[in-house]
Amino acid sequence: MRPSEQNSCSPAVGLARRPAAAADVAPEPAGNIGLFEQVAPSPAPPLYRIRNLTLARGSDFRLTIDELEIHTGEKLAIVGHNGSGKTTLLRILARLATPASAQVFEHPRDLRPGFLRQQPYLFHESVARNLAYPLRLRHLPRGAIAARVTAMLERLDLQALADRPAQQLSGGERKRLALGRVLIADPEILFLDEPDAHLDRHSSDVIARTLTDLPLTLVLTTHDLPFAHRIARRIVHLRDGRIIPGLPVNNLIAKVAGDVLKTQGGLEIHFGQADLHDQPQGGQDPRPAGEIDVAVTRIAIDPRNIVLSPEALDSSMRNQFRGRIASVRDHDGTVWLEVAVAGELLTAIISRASYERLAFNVNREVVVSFKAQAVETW
Amino acid sequence: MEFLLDSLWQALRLIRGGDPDLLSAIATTLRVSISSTAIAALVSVPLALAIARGNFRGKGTVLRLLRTALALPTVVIGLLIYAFIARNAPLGGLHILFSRTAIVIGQVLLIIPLITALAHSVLEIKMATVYEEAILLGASPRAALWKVLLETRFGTVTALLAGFGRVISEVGISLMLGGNIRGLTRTITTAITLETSQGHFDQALALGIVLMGLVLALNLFIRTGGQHREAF
Repeated sequence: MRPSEQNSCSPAVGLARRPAAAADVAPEPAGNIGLFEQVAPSPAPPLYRIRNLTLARGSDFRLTIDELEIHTGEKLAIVGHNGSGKTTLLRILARLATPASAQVFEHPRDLRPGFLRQQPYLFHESVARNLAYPLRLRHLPRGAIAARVTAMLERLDLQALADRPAQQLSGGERKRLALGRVLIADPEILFLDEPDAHLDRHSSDVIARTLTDLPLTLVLTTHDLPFAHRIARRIVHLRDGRIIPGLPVNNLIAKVAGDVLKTQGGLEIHFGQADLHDQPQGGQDPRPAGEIDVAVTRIAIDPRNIVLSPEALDSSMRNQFRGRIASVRDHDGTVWLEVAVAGELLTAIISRASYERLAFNVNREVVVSFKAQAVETW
Repeated sequence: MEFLLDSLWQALRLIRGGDPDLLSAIATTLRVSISSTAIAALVSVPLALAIARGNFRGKGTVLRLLRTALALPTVVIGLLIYAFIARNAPLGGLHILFSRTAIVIGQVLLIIPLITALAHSVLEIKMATVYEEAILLGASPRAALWKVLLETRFGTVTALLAGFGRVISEVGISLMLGGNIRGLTRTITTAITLETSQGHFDQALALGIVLMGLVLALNLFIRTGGQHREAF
């Protein structure tokens, strides 16, 4: 985690300063998510605040959100299987659906939303005209429309397809165009319903890069946990219409330095290099492998793949760092620990049994280990 | 076969010769058919949009009535209007019986259900997706409905063409309300009826070929017009 972003994920002090015993671990209320945000919320009031919200869909499905907060600038992913209620929740957040009941449903009223549907409808006209549609609605001058359309075409790598009828595009190109059409209207908050569904690697990369770079509040749904890791800083899991404990994501930015990645905080991480140098599938990236920009990359490490131990392990894991536990938090039967390592703050999730056996507590020195293959890069 | 070829030859001769009766019948036919289709479109397309967009009680009944009205015989419509505009009827003072106006009124009533039902079936399919997409992209409800119409333009134009085809080929209304007055209300179809009753089969068939040629030319014209494209 970047130092500048640590405010939103500050150490959990309530539990962490007590002795590390299982009995001391305060149980998390069922359905609580956004662990660290709740322990030390950011000073600004949340953009969304939801308590006990329900919506029935047919006779056999009911969405029940006990508690959910979304803060300004946050990138949140809602992950779950088909029929888990992801799209329903997203539509409620975007005010496209009205909950049947809600004890609290505070939502922004003055932000211009952008919504990308799971199966966006592309108009029967050219790619450029599709992109220009939201601007034509605002009666912008033709010159201004042309300039913005050209910029968006480049941003989404669609410049070669500008004059092609939108109906002739491939699935990935269609999704990129639909995203561009949403973004060109300058939304202030973005909702994306499965933006990664049925995408080729190149389109997935372009969309992930575009979304990661956006300085916007963003809520997306997806089946794909690695994709969620790439975009979001917090993940909410939905199952049968209820939120189950979500995971924070170790998202880092790093530069390639030889065969390691050097993070902004100075951590040198070994990674599965094959991933980084993978050629895009489908031959859609015209650049040869050597010209693909890998100077700066993004990393996600699943907190469940991080091993904590009192001493360095004699193992095949290539990433081992000494650090200090910054916070400890019980979460629905597991224990989440934040460990300050060099200039980064890494989250690890371990079982309560391991936590009790190893007697971890705040400020204790530990060794953080993970395999090179556990490092997702793009 | 010889009869057909003779008729075709006769048709070409009539057109090349600029037969005044034929030209008058063509002009009257086009005039009333285009007027009827245009007026019916002004009513039917918004009506079809409203039914497709609306989620009101009795929607199913409205659609069933529309589909039933598709089977209305032209002579029944002619008779009904005749009852209103005959000299001693409630609207007799308008003096529109046996005029092109009367034909247009009858034809409009004939094809409003047809165009509405066909356009509705096209619009209904895309209404939910296109309307919501346009609204999500910042369109007003009116702009979103316009977008739905644009996206279904080929289907809607087909519905209008079906209406035009119905009125250009109908004979009951034109005969009952127009009176088949030479140079005024005689259309191609009423002329065919007249020629047939007088035993001029080749002349009647020639008129039929002209009628088919007109519809074909219109189809080609609309197809070419639909291929116009803009950059943004």
